[in-house]
Amino acid sequence: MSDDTSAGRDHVTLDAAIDRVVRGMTQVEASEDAVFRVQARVRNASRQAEVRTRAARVWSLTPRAAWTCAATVVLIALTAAYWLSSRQTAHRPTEAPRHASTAQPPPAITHAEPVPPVMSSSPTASKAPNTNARASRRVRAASVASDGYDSSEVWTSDLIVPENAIVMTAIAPALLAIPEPLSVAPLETETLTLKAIPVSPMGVAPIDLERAGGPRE
Amino acid sequence: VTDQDLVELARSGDAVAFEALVGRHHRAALRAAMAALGSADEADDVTQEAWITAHARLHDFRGEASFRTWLLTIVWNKALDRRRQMGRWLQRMVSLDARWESDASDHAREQPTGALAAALSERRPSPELALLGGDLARRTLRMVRALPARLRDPLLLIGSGEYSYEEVAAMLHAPVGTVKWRVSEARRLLRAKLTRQGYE
Repeated sequence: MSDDTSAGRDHVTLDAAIDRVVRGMTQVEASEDAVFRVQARVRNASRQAEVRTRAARVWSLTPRAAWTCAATVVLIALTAAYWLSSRQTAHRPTEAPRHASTAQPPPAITHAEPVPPVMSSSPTASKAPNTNARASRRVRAASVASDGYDSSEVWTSDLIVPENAIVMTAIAPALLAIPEPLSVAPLETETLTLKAIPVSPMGVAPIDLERAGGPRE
Repeated sequence: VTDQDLVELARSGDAVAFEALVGRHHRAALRAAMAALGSADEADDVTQEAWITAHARLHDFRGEASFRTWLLTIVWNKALDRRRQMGRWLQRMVSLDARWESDASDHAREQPTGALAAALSERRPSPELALLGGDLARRTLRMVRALPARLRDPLLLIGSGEYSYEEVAAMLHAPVGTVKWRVSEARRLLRAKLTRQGYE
């Protein structure tokens, strides 16, 4: 019984020792200076937080302002470009070429398509084997030289200006292998025979030549 | 004025209200950090960081727990982060042991706990350790430090007499029953070790 009591007392002693050690390991008194330091630090932190908040507001607004300015500048530039282009279009002569993006490709000339007579140097030139090819080459050259101008304009100029072909065929027909123009000789004849002209009856009495041309009574 | 009133005032920008909260709970926060770190300077630094964090996150406080519990949770998490990051816990314990050994040999036998307490609280010896016998205190101290953290932390927090089981459970993110068992297990282990060393 006494052993149990002493054992229990020992346990109490050990527990008390443990408690005291544990309490001693965590016993630290907060001095007033420590509290003041904490308060001052919190105050500074709150001020810095306010400054950061203001800065964050500024920086959060700055990108929006920048984007707005950029969008405005782009809009102004687009408006100015459109205004200038419309102004140039209004002052441009009607025959001036339009933009290439609106131009249609020139129609391809086939061999079946006849060459306009003005392009031919002779009545038979259109039937010459190289004529259509030359015309096609002229069309391609014109479209290249027109630098993307309107296809109708190219085609019109090709129709209107066949002078090169005329000049070339006139100057150097041999070089272009164009046959000589036909010359029509004046018709000369010594005998002219007239066939009787058939006359259909019209229900009128034939004229008596003798009576008509005869002496009057 | 309750803590909740002070929190509401502090939320509205009243700095004095928050300073009143600091005055009320700074000691509890400091002791929690001390239990985790074992150094008064580290505990003071961590506690200040915790107060700043609490001030910054005051709008996140929903009032589901008391402000004190919420603050102690912040302090404990900060202290654990500090303990993990710096890795000084074990080194400090080793150095404190060495200091205690040297102090014990230099000073008279009747004042060993003064050196131990000064090493623990750094210039502030606790009266509990001063009252305890030198050899038993030293051995018990070593055994407490040698405990695994999951047993040592609740033992120190509960043993500080500053916190309830509910508060410790909230700080450790563990059920109250688990905390009670851990404290009991830590005491049982310490008693068994001290008994094996001849203390009865």
